[in-house]
Amino acid sequence: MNLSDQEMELLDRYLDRDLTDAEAIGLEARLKADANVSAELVKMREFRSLRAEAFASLEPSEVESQQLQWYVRGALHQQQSVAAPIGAFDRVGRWAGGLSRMAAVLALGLVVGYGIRGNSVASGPALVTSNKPQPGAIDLTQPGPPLVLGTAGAGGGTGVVQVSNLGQPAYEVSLTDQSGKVVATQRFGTLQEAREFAKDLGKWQQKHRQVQTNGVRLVGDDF
Amino acid sequence: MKEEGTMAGGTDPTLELFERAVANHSRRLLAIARAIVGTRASPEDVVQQAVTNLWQHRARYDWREPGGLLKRAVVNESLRLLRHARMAMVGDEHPDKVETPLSNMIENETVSRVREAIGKLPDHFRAALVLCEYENLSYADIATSLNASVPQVKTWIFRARRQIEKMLREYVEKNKLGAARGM
Repeated sequence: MNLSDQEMELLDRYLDRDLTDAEAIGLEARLKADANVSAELVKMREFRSLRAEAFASLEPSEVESQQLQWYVRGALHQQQSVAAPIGAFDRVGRWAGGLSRMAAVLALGLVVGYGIRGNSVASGPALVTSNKPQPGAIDLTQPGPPLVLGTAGAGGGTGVVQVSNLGQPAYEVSLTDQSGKVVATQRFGTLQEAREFAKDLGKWQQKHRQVQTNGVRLVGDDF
Repeated sequence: MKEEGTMAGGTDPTLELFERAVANHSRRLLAIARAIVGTRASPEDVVQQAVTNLWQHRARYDWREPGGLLKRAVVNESLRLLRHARMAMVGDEHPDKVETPLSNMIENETVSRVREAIGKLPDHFRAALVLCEYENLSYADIATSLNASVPQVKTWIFRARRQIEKMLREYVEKNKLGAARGM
């Protein structure tokens, strides 16, 4: 026998812990007396556990979470630096300023994506020391120590540099803007983590760029 | 071990507080965006857009509970993006679909099937279900997040659950039979 929608909703609310004490006691008594209702509750629990498993598979990794924080930080910083002069404008000017800020964030994203895309070719990400980009590039796609491949592309991007921190080796991924200014940095304990982060960043930028270009995938992204 | 990231030059204390709030909740925000937009848009884009919008209009909001505010912003941005037909098309045809970390997390067919079923739900049903079962929010909090009434939220969740059950019933029954035969 199928239960009515009201009975099903009552069971849902029971599992959601939304019933009052009196409602819960009443339902529990019915569960003991009515095999159909208790069988339906078991079925609901099974489906709920399947959904929980599916939701659990969506949990981001620590690296993904860090990557997101890094990007958000970059975007906020960019927005903040553009916002100051806009404060003096009138309402129309602010609206236009908002568009400029968005454009600046998107442009930064494209620039970073350009830098990452060239990882395996000569225009790789810039090697950064003392927060200033220097000529040279690192192949982030290969295992082992960083490989300097050639001169950095002019468009800015990301880089990995090994730095010392009280004798402890650390690796820093830096995001630079078009002028070569370091916008944000993220430090990692191992080169592997730094590489993984930069690689994920590249993938994300590729997706981002694709969305910006109405779904058109640049052939250059494949190389 | 990763250490704290640093901003070059940025010393605005409000911005620092805001960044800290984002950092504290970034994992949940990304998970919510993933659960709601699935593969139809980039969850990272959703979070970034939601957060930058929130920062831009920060003066309008009550910041006593930044977590709830950030989550609401992400839910709303996810739903806004899903309404955008162009984004849906790009996501469906995304060439990197198979290589994303998200797809790598699909461990087995059952998870894949369930996620597919969740993905087929109407956007508001899915958002309500995610907030209820994944975020464990109360019906009242979900209603606030989705700018809807509590009865409306209950209806969405109820229908979402029944639709998923309908979509998966045959598969689940088949699996049960298979498991019973394998014993």
